[in-house]
Amino acid sequence: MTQLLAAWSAGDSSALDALMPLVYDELRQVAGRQLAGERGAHTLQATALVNEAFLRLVDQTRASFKDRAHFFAVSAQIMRRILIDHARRRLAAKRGGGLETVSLEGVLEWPGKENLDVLLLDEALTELATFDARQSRIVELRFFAGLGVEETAAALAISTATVKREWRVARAWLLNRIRPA
Amino acid sequence: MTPERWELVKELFEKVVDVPPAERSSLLRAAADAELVREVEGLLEADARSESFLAMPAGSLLGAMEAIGRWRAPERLGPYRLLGEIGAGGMGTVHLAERDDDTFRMRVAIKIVRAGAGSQGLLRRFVTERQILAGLEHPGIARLLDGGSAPDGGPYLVMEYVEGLPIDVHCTRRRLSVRQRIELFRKVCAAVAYAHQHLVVHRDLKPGNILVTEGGLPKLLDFGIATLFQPGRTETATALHALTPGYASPEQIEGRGVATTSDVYSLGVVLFELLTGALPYRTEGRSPLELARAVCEEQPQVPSAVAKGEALDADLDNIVLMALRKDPARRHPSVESLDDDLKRYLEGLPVKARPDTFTYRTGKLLKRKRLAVAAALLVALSVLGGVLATLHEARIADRRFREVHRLANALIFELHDGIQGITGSTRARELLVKRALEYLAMLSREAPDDPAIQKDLAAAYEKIGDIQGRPGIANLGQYEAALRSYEESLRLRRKLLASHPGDEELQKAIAASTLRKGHVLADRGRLTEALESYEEGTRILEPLHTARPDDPVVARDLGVLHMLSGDVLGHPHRPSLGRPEEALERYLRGHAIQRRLLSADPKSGERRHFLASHTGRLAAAEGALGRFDDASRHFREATDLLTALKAEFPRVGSIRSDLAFLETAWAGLLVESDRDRALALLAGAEATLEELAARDAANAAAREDRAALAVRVADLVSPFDPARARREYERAIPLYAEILAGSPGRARVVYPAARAHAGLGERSAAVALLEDARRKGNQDVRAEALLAELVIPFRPPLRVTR
Repeated sequence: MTQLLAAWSAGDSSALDALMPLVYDELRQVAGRQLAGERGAHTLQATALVNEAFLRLVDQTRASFKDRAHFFAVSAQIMRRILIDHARRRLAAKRGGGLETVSLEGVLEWPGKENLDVLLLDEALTELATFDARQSRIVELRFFAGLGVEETAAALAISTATVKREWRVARAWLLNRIRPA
Repeated sequence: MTPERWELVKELFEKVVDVPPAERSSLLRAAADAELVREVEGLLEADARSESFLAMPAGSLLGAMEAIGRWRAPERLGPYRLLGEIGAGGMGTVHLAERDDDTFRMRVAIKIVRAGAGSQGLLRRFVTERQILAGLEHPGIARLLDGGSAPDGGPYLVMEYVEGLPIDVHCTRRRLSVRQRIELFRKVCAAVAYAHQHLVVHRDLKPGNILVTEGGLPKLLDFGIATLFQPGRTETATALHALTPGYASPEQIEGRGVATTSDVYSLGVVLFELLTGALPYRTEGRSPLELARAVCEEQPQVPSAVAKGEALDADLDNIVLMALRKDPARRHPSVESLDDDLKRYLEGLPVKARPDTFTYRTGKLLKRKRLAVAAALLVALSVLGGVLATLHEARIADRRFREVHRLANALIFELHDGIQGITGSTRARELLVKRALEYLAMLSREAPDDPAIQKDLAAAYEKIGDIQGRPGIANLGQYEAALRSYEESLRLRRKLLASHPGDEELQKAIAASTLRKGHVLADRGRLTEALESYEEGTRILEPLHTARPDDPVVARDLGVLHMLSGDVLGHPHRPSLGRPEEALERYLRGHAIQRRLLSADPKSGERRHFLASHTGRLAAAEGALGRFDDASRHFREATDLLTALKAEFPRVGSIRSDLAFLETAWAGLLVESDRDRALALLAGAEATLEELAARDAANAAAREDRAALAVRVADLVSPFDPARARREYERAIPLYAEILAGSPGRARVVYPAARAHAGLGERSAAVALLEDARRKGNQDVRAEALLAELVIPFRPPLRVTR
């Protein structure tokens, strides 16, 4: 695991393919436990989820702080995939297994007032990545892995000021894309 | 949008976003590109309403997470009808179910593992382990009844359904006192100890797995289940244990091996929680990761300092904190031992657990580890752990490291399975040794010139030798193999020393190896070779000792080498070559060294105990040489030392047994001149050893001591009390039969066993024992003399001839 993380951060993209199923499996299990846990918690904190998965998957004695950051980066991508997959499946189920059509049905409940179309967000994020990959990753880390500004900065080895600046622009762009004024 | 254009958009956006609207429009107007301006205006508009957008992490999206986590259980599984979900754990859900055959109805709990939960091997492991797990029949353990495969391929386990409350909830609801809580907890200990006797480790003890029934009986759930969940993915196996951060031991968190002492740790956490209402490590505000770090690195809180209810005293603190030690070897060696200490506490007796600073240890305490398997496992783990750590430091290639790591895992898992598969643990331990040696051979090939690895190899061979046949600890009884391992360790170290002459650590290590090798040889009765080995060690340590007489390790080891050389040369009551003058000369040298050591630290219990041993040896040799006055004086000195130690360390059994044998030897010196006093000494020795044997019925060493004393007493009293001598010999015979069946060929057992047979007139049994030992190289002169006595004066029965 730790080696895979290191390989991936060193630019070996095949390492990511090896990492994904491991982390995916683990996140699912952790999510299940937390949801069904005795604590009765009904909101899942993404950070706690990813933390626990990290704890269970990575050899603690050998992992550095950097490995932890890499792990979060992977987890963020996976969380994104999980959510998107789910939205797609749900949509498909409602349509009787038919084709994906209008994305409004793929809306997920938001604990707050608004709803968020995850599929639209995903599309927009994919588009954003074509001209600003770093911004797209910042969004993944902050939104899908629930990382704070500092943790995001550490994961990407950039300054917190940069994270804040980029996050603000990215958010504005995405919102404009998903829900134009 | 191109990246280049996006850079321009961002630049303009950032330039204007935080300025007041009035200035903003003028700044925007200044920009030449109208398209760019429109783009930025759009962003500015969105920025103004984006406050709540993406403000909460996606993980909070309930529906999706539920879909990730939830899984729908089937309505039936085999003969069981599922009635409803009653709980969920890391790998799946637990359901109440009913078996509705025609004949009877039974309620069970079914644990269903989600398909694809990474537990492909679970079913396979279940098949191999179900017999062992189903064999756990104890009122305190919920039984595993059945298992199978659900339609979607996920395995399921059927368990006894227990109605009850988690033990912590039970204690709170019933408002139990500290005393009642401990009494309840002891019942939990009894159940865990039972499982350990059947070589099943729980691995996931926590209040949620300990339910207390309405009647107040605790029942353990999921025994051995964690074992089943050991994933087969070797790469990440160590980190994938299904563990609960608050209760898992440091070794589980770090992915090192799990032994019965890991359950001792988790029980310690549960006890901590029952007594204080808190966990040993601060939990609030900590992520699981931080909590895990704390478990591995921080000192636990002191129970009495955090107890919310009834006040706790220092003895309870000591017991709980001992169970929570990070080093498994320093916890209570078994659950029974933890339980025993709690019993003592409840009865107002002094407890065995001491604060962490207590360092007085003796070899015999090590012998008392009840679970030989656990001991062997720990040794194995320390071998692997040590080598792995060094490999890591040595920056061996990662691939290599992984390979070794995987092998270590295989060793541990296979060992575990092996242990569970059979009664007794011999096969598993053989497997352990075999694997460890294979792995060592691999390392040796890979790094023939790396001195660090060669050093570790030597250390590892030494430990392997210990497992194979080090006298005095649980071993495999493979003495020839042990000798070969020690010899290999010595060879590596001698070779290293040749290229690093003057390396003192190496010299000390070589001396330590000669000691172990000599010990095995002496135990087998191969006394000449033993003496050679001891002398090699002596030759190495003597110049070191001369150069630095104050080095306590060198001094102690040299003293011990002198003492053991003396023993094989001519100890009157041990296997020896029958050269008492030379023995006395060695004893005097050892005694002088030990006296000097003690003067540097006159309070040290360990050094006083060592001096008593040396002084007792002097006395015995002087007695054998007829130097009555010197012997009496030294007997008295040694007795005084041990008597004082006994009062100070009443629970150290070896002090008492040493005193008993000293008194016996002294009685031997006095028996002709002062029979009453001799008999009084013997009575004292007998009482001491009876007590030791009764205190710990499972302790083989105590039984051996008792048998040896019986023969000594019989020898002493036979001239004037033949009836008593006969009783004593008769007492020894069955004890020795048992000892010899368990560990044949031990030189110090052969002679007294044969002597007992001879004393009862069972000549052929005695001769058979002695001749067999002689064939195997036993050089004990006492055995030689007895054999000669039995064979030479023997004449065929007289026949009346004409």
